Amino acid sequence: MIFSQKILDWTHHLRQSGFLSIITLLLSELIVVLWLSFFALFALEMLLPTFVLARLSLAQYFFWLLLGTLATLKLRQETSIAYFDIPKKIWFPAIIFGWFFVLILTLLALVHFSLIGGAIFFSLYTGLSFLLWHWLTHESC
Amino acid sequence: MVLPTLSPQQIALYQKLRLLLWIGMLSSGILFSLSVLFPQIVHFLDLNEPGSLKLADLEFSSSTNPDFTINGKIAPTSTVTAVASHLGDFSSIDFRITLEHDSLLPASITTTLRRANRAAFLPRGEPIVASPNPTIYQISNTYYLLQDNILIPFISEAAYRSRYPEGHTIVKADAAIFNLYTKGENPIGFRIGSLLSFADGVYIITSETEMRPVGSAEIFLALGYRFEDVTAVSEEELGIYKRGRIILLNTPYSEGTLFEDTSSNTVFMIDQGNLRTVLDPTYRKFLLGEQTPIAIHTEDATEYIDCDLQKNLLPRSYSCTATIDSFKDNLGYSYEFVFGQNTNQPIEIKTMRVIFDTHVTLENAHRLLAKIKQRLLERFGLASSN
Repeated sequence: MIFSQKILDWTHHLRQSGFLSIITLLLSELIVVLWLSFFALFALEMLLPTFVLARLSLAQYFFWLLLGTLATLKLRQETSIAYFDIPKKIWFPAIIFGWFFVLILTLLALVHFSLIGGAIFFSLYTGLSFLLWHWLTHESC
Repeated sequence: MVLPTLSPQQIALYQKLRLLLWIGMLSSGILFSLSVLFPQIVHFLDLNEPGSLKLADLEFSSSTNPDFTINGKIAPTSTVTAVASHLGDFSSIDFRITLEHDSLLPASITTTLRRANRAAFLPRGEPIVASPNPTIYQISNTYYLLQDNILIPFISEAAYRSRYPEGHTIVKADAAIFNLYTKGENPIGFRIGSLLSFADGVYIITSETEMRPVGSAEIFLALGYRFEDVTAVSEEELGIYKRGRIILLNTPYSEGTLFEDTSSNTVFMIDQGNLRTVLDPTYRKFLLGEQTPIAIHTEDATEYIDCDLQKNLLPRSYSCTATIDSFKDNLGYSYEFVFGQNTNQPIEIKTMRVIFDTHVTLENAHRLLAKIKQRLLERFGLASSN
């Protein structure tokens, strides 16, 4: 009880002094990089099974990443940092790159599929991407 | 990035911390990449953990301490031998041993190590001075070996030809011979040590009844075999064998494996656990025609490095580091370690750690990248078999 009170007092002091915001911003950036690293490692593991797992436990990494993400989101709530204001010149190419990255992985996974199966998967992927894009842009209006 | 309301000093602090954060992340990324490209291989054995021996991937042998892997004891003035096999150019090997709390604490634990082709560690047997010369019958299109009044059929002509050279004496007979001799039930297969392929697998014939698949193309080539020496066989020919465990880099060579010393051009064969020189010229010529022998440099097995483990700061712990640059030109990827103690009482080992450190060199990086490329191609069925 006393310990949690001390934590609350300390958090309040950090918020008042503005350092909590600094910590939150830094953590946010770190979490984004760690998520991108996770996707890269996961993709590498898909292409070369056991290459990553022999050196690093992706399950543990994911566990700590989730915890860190939750903590960061909580801190953002506490410091009222509600959104990322990233310039379009950064997020637009990033989304295009991400779309192609996932597409390539999907196509590689479909190498042993039939032509029709591959075409169906590609259609579904494109359709879902369009729906997601439409929903995101609609939400932001 | 929208910054919350911060003073100019706090903004400056934020930018500095952000720079440190990125330096930290980039450094971590570089360190992780280096650890991937230049791995450190650790063999850890905890003699109190039942499954630890298998995970340690060390093969132990000792005529004077046969129960070492069970109780960790090394008898007075005796030794224990371990073998590990790894591809790669290592710069040093680190040894760390801890003893049980009630064990005698010797002044030091002696260790000698050497690196060579695994077969070079085998004891030398009597040379082979004559090729096998049993009586072979041909009845219709099937070849039979006469042994103890039993005519044992060969599974195929190819199996017969893998064992005996072209000019071997054959007695042609007809079915009436089965009135004299019993027909054997279990056919004879290929010469032990033969390399066979069926479907996508390559197999080594390790005994008259067992074949073992090779783990991967990389392991096959690293062990010194050549794909040109692999014979494609039918399901029937392979069907007489039971399938044994997968052959990995650390698996000892099987009986019948051929070697040729690069210095003396002496041809050896493994027979009953010994390395036997093939002296008979006809048999040697026949064997060399069947399979290219694995290159071996028997002199590598005479080159030793000593590394006596001394007590270190941790309680009941001993360690030493051996620089192994002198092994750079040795053929083979097997390392043999001999641990010993010179006291008049037994010592009891609790844990043992053997750490291989990889050189940070362009060659090692190229080797790993080539392996990655090969694995990627195999993953999508684009790799060639050569």
